[in-house]
Amino acid sequence: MKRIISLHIEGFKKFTFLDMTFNKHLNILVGENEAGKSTILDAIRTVLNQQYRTSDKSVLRDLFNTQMVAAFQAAPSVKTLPYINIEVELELDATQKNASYFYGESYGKRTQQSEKYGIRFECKYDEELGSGMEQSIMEGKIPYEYYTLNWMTFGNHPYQIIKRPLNFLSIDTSNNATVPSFNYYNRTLFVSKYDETTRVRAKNEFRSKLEEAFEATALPPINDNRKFGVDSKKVVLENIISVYEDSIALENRGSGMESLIKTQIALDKANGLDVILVEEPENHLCFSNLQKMLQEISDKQNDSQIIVATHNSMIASRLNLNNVLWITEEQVKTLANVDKDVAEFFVHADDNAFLQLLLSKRVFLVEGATEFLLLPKFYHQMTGRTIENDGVAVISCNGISYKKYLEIARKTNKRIAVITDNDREVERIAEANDFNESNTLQHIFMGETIDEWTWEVCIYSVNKATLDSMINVQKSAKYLFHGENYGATLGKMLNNKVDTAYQMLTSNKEFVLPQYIKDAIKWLSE
Amino acid sequence: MAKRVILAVAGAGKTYHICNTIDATKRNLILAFTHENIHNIQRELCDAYGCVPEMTTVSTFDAFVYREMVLPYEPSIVEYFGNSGFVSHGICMKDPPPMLIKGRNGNMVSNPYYHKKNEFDHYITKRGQYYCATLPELVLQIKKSKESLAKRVAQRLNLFYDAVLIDEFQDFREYDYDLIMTLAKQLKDVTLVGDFYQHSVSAINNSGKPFKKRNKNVGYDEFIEELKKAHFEIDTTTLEKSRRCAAEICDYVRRKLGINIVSNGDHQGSVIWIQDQAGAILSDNNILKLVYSESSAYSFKAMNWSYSKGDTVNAACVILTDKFECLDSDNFTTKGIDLSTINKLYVAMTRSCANLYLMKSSTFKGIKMRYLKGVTPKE
Repeated sequence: MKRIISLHIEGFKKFTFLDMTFNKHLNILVGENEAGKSTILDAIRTVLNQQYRTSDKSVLRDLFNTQMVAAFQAAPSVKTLPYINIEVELELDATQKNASYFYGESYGKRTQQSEKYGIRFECKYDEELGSGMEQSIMEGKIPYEYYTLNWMTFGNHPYQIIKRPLNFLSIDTSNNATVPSFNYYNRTLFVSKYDETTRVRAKNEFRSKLEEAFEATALPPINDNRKFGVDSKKVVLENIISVYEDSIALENRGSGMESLIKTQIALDKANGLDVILVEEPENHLCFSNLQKMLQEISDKQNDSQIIVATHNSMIASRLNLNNVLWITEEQVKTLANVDKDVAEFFVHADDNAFLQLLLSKRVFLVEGATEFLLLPKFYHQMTGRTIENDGVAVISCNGISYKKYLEIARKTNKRIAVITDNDREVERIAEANDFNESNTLQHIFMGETIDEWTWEVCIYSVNKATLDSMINVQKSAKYLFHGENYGATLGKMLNNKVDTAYQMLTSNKEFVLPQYIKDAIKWLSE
Repeated sequence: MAKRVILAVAGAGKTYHICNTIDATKRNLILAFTHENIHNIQRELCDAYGCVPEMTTVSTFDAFVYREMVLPYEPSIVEYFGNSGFVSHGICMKDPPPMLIKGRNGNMVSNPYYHKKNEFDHYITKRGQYYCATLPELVLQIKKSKESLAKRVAQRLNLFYDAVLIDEFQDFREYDYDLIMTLAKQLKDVTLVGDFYQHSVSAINNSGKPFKKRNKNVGYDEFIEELKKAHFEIDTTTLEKSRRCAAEICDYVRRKLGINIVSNGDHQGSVIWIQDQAGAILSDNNILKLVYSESSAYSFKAMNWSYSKGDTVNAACVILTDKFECLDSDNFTTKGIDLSTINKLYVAMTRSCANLYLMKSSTFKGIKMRYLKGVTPKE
């Protein structure tokens, strides 16, 4: 199995410093916008594909980490100049050709250490090249032109793409099917699909047939000693081929279909790709095609290593939470340790907000729509601030046990307040108390006695007058709830939970908050 | 743990044997001393398999040591010498300053520019290049507590190669030899192929271990004993017969030089002493002339004895030196003649797959002037 084991980044785009380890097969990179998902994919491409090798040095402006640049500008000197260092550790097969080329101790701290397979990219100021630049550096100018870009293997040999350690393909759906991205895709597929002998034979045959065909046109010469001929440099086979399906070139399919087909081809084991990067597969794909693509990825996940960057919650849960790598400020957390049953549960849950759970700093986990609607209002009423400003999310479990969410949340050190009902069960109250005594970051809030058994009951008990006047009841109606009579107003509230909540929300009235909700808001906003 | 030494005679087909007995599907590492050897091996592999088999690596020993034993472990080297931040800049073919140099009165005195083997500068030039000459010594030098670089390198070879073959094994001396022996202790599968009597023939590396011990030459039997002690299995039969040289030539070499070479009888040829027709032979371009040195000074087709190593020709004429003036006498003995000179003559006498012409130094001197380039013969 050939794959990427880990990635180390210093000074590249979003990251001043990052270390992350990849799962063997499926990796789903999840994070807020700008968290660095794309930076990670870009870092991998920079190392393996020598991206930016031929770019103008001005591209470095966009590649340097802004914090490093700021640190340099605060204290300009040759020593503080920004630099980039990216190392990709690989798992290779010792019996494959060129494996030893990548194997050595030239990585990380570069001291005596165990040998690993890998490639490192280094972009730094070349003091020798830039002699004479000292003055302008002291003035805070970064001498981009005097930076060198260097790719070396861990075996301390210059990395040349021709000695590719593994077949690697990056499927980019974010910038619409541009010509270069297609060429890259077609070329990569061509190289990984056919061995060198087959490729060379096809190329030679193509070239000679092309020349023959041109000769056959019998184009008259320009003059006595000059004529037109085909310049074989201009028609390189890899540059002009495209993948055709039912005689339609892939480029000409809609961009959604095109990324689906690209992914399908890439995932086919017969095409010999070891590592596949997919950036935001949700782009341009309608729901059903996205489902199809996810199914494809999920079925083929054990044939290669797949790294998907997404901010679509469905993608993450469908592809199993255990495969999620969650990117936050300067670190990556794995959900590989989430209980298998829980992960499995979310794969089958139709809709869930677990991603939102990961992306918020503080979270209310609530039972259902009623709480979901009213809690933001209560929060504002009590703290004078909005939940949005405080980075608080309200997530409705919609009948799913909050325990499953807590299971995930526990891996992420988030502050979570669960607001739930005791449903008249004494054990639940005891259980919640026990839980709160042994957990500092997550607390469970519910009515303290079995009389306060559900949200509506608690709200009504402290807002009787307001609610009685607000909620219209018909004299004749009994409003029984599960066969019991709770009085007309509360009975109607229990039978029409969402409507009532909506009515309360739009009433612009202030409500008295039940104690456990006050406690929850106070605890979470601390 | 297969460890073998195959001892061969001149023209026994060492390279052919190596190339045709490897398992082409395995990861073979074939190392040799010179680029000439490498080209021969590559040619032979192409004859046998159409090209160098995909998983087979052929390299000179020095290049391999640099690429696979030194570069990947530069961090260990840097740490050993406490030279943090050092990044090497390639290789230097010039030798490092020698320990002793000639003083004013011709005596050997110690060289102030010499750096001891435990110093960084012993291995690396001021410009950050590795001295090619001290690479194997460097590999043997580096260790950290109990973990030596040589041991790690042996593990690396075991990881990446199924079989290691070293051709022209007799060419490896001193630290080259030490490194091979140290690595061989750990290697899963190593085969050394060579001709004991061709040692000290290559232009460089003409002395020392393992062919000299305290300034005394090490004989064939003693050499084999050493290898047996290092747990090598010794094979003296597979390549004991020369496929190139005729029986008469082998007999002559055996009698005169005391080197045990036998013909397999594939070729016919005689030893022919040249006196009267010297001019005709020298002018005959079908006959390669083998001179002790400075072959390029002559207008006839010529090569130095030592350079002819590994070559096969249809006819060769060996022009002897003064020391071998009495080679045709029944009383001739090699006593007093430098071992490396004898070995070089052995190489020269075993190039032809047919006739071997011999010309005495005295005969040659009579007509030498006529063949010196840039000299107009006097009438």
